[in-house]
Amino acid sequence: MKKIICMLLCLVLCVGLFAACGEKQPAPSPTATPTVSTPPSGPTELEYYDELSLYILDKVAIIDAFNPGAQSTANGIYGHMLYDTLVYCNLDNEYVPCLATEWSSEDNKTFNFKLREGVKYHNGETFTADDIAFTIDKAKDAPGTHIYDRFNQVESYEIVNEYEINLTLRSVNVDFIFDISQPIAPILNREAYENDPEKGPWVGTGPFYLDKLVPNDSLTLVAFEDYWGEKPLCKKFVMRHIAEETARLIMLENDEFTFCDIGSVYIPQFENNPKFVIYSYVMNNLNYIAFNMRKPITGDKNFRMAVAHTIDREAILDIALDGYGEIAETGALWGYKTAYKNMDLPLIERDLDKAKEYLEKSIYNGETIEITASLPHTINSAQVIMAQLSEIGINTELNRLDAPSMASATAYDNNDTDIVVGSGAWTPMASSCRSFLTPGHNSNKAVYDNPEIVQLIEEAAATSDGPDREALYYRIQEILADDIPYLGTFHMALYIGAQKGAGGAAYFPTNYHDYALAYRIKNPQ
Amino acid sequence: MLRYSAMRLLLFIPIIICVTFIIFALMDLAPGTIVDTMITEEMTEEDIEFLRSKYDLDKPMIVRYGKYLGNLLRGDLGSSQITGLTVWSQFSERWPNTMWLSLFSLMFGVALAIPAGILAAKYAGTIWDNITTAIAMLGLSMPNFWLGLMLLTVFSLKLKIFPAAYDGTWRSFVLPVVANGFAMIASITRQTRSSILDVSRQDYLRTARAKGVPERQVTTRHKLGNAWIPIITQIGMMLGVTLGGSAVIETVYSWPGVGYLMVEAISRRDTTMACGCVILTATAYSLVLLLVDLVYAAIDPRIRSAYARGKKRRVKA
Repeated sequence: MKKIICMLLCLVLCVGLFAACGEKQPAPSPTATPTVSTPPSGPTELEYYDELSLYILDKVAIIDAFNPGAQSTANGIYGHMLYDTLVYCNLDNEYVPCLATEWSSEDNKTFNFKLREGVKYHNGETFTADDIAFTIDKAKDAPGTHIYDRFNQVESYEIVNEYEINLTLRSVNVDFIFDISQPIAPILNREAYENDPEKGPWVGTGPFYLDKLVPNDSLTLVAFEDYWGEKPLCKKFVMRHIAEETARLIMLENDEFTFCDIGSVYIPQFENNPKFVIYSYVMNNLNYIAFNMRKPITGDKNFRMAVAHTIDREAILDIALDGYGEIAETGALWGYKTAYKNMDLPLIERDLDKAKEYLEKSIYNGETIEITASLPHTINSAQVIMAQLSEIGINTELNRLDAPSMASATAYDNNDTDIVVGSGAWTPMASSCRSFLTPGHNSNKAVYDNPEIVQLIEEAAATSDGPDREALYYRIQEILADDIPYLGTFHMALYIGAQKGAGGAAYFPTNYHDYALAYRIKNPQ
Repeated sequence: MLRYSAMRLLLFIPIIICVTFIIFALMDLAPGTIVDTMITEEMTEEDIEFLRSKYDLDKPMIVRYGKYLGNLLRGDLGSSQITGLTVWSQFSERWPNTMWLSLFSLMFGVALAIPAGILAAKYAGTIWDNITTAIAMLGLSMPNFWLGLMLLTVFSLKLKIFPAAYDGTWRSFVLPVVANGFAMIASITRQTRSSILDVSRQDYLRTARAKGVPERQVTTRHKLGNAWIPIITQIGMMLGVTLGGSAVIETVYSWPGVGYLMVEAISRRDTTMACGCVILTATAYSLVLLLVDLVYAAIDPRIRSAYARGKKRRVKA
């Protein structure tokens, strides 16, 4: 009897082991461009669900654009719904009038804005130029916030009348309109803020008002009847953070979420289910290997070339994200859809013989190279990179850190790690290269300090769009491809599962998705 | 008894001072600060210095600790450095959720574990004992989060009986209570079994049986009556621990409890919030242990009389 039980248990164990060796589904290609779906038009009137729900990646404990503790990607998502910006930047990177109906600048330093009349805040106040003045003044006192980054560049303002204002920047910035078109640069109401410091920051002019905030859990938004623009297609919109991935996907399955991000492991399961539609896009962010240019070994170009010839990006992407992403396209660090991308700079191909040659020429002599990573997918990437580097005899050790420790350990002034495997946020604007390439910025994980690059970035920021600007940014990328302080690895793809008949969201590569016109059709075909 | 309770309450003061110092020192030693969680791409070194000074990070740890302790002595637990909301308001909002989860988990655990423990002891060495031992081992060796996910998959995804996340209704209590209570079942069952087996070998039970006391009365009055002390200690300890919040269960079920709040505070280096939460949970834990001591006296006349003798001696002196 005992033998039979033992044999049965062994059989179960073997079946379990073989089941785990099942073939992996190939990763489908994400949509290369950001997507937005509009409700289908037809002769019959469509019926929409009154309530929609969305999973948000970041916990929201408090809503206050001026509080450094309240900054995350979620600001951009609820920002589209609660607030308006002066200008709206659509998925084609075109500027559309929003709170400002017209704007102009002769020198890209002083900007004139003519404002929309009759716009109401959620508290009933009327929007005027004074609210812009209030927002700028308050933002300048709030370092550590997104709104500070946008408005601190304003040196002074002049209120021409209630519906016209001039803003003068500290220095020329061709991309200023883009900066203030992002949902993390909302225009807030002075009255609301001064009367109620807790709930005043919730008040905007957006298509929804905030009805309820459960800290670190959910936000309940209700359609604002007096909204000046296109009215929402639902009456209530709930955003909720669910920490555990399995729980949130069960909620999507059970129709407790209308929209929910799907992790790479679960994508095939939802793609083959007719109850759902999948929206996907490639993020602008670029995952990279940053060499500490201040340290002797990683500062040695031969060593960097050896690493460049060793890494296999496909393998890194396969392990880090099950293949759901796009391999870096060029030999320079640049965002996926960032402007002025120089496609003529090829990636350095994997060639172990060349890698060994470069390694021999380098000053590397068997030392242990510290690789620092923080996010789960960057830790996975780092582990693959370590295995690949061991093929040419580079010894490495992994230093896993949580986000604050990572920020502290790799801050520009005290970055002592050899290599950072990280992920960098790129906007569609080429000027976003500044934070990775200029001294003093904490995103500059390579501790890269090249005066020529700094000068080129300054020149490009002051040059209007056109061939001259393109030449400057192309030159920056050429220098980067030659110096290789960074090696781009892959762009992450994001997949959002939605109930069948749900759509209307605009998925921006910056991750500030716009759900203001999201909908869900009843009885979709 | 009153004097004893008062002494125990006074002991809270050094405990809390030690606890706050330890957590303050640990938060200070951990790499990264609250400012590191706030750095944006455009921030300059000047801006970072401004924030460091705003959060007193330019001052030595002992100065910050002294300031915190001064506020604490005035009854001010401070405000979260992240949200600006008071520690008390955030804690008191979440505390009832954690308390109910703990109490229901304990009730669930005790209701199943004590009969199972008695059964195992009564039929020690038989199939019943083996079955309860197997269940207890399963409960002890099964990680909380795994059981939590399995329950979610079966009862929420497949059967659609219970919600996957907290929604404020009684239905959202069931799965976290079962997941949390299952580990308790295991340890309380084992404790009950071994306590009863220990007591079973005592002479007074043989005497009781020799006097013709019915077996049921022997079990409930003599065996259980004397076996309660270690079981109650175990239950008290478990209640104390779960009142501090179960970060794992709270994360799996999106349960808005204290454990999750504390983990969030630590991961964002929010020292005031982390310290405040630790103080409040340490107080709750100490109170539970005091309550356990008082329950000993209520159920065991020997302990009761020991307290009384202590009181008389002090009166004579």
